[in-house]
Amino acid sequence: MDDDKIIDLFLARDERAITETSSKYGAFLFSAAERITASSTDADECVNDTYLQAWNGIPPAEPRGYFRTYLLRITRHAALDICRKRDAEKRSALMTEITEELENCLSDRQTAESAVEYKELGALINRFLKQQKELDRNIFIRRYYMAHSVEQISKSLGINKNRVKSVLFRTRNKLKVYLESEGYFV
Amino acid sequence: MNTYDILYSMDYIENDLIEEAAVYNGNKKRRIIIKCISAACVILAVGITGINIQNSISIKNRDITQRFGMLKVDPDVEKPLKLNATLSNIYPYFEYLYKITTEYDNFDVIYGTVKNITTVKKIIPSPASVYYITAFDIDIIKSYRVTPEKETVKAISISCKRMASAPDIGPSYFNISEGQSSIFTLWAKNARVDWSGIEDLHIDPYDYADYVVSTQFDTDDNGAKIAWYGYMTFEEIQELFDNAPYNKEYLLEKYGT
Repeated sequence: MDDDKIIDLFLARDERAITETSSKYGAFLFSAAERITASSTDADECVNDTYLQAWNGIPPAEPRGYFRTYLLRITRHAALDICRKRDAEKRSALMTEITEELENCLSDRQTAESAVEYKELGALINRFLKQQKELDRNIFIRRYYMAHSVEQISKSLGINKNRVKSVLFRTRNKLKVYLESEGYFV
Repeated sequence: MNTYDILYSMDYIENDLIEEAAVYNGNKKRRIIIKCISAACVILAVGITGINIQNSISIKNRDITQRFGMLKVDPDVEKPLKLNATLSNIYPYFEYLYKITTEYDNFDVIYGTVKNITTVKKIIPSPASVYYITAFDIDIIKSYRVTPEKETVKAISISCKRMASAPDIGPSYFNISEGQSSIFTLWAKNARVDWSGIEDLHIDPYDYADYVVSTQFDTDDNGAKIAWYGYMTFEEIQELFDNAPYNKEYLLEKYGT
């Protein structure tokens, strides 16, 4: 079913909205959550939470044109929350990799503590990403937003794994410099 | 700055950028060639085998999914726990079962083997709850009471998982696995059972099965309380059914009913 029609179902408070959303995006959301949490049970919970949050969020939200991203954002956040709660003790191998990569260019000296700070930081990252080449930007988002493995990125984009690693390394370093120049002590 | 801060702040990446990354295709020409080669391999493989097993499986699952109007999920079977089941700590449960058979009609306890599992789930947004409905067949090995002369019965189990204050009902779908032999408590349609816990589902379970399974059971170290994972041996089950002190005389004497 077309995204707009699914959103119409949400707006009409028709429970088929959940079924249609699950049918179209369930597997996509599940795999996104499973990559982050490394647990099918946790991923299942994240996806269920996503449906409920979408149900409670639409209306007033009306994510036409970015419904998939709207859902992915909720799922990803729920999955990160789970990871953060259990943190290092049971952190998935992939999340360990990703956070270690970021730790190499970002230290612990400053912590964002409010949604406003996250939003400010998010705005900076947006600006930074827009300045990057299309390929570099998309590799970065796939890796650090969608939690894809280097191998997955390499396969899906049809490029060498070493090139993916090299792009990520360069982009992280550039991000560090950029954030520092904007007053973030990284 | 904590690395999670960066990960959380990425929540604010603009939708257009995420959409772009989601569909970004890199080297399209190469990918198209790979897809063509893959498609050709699949066609060749199907042609050689002449049997599309996957297709027949998906038709079966689709059938039951459509009947329920629900979402299919793959049963994610947890590794069963090895529990210390002994006859002595299972007896009290049998006594309990006998006692309630005097209060309910059309109830049975069977020992049987599970096959043909299909699990579907239904999400009810309000009140927030997720129901797992597992339909399966049970090949009867031993029957305790009223199951008609059948070799196999169609059963269904309904469980409710997490979400707000919704109560859990029924055995978890995790507990049922293909080929597992367990003791099941079965309720037929005219059994006087309170199904109010599943009223949100708006279905009649008996449209889909002969019986609703209300309990699988096993014992834990603390006695007759309950989560059956089917780890008793066949001989133990035989002994339980043939010689356990739930025979009428014993129970009449004990409970006086």
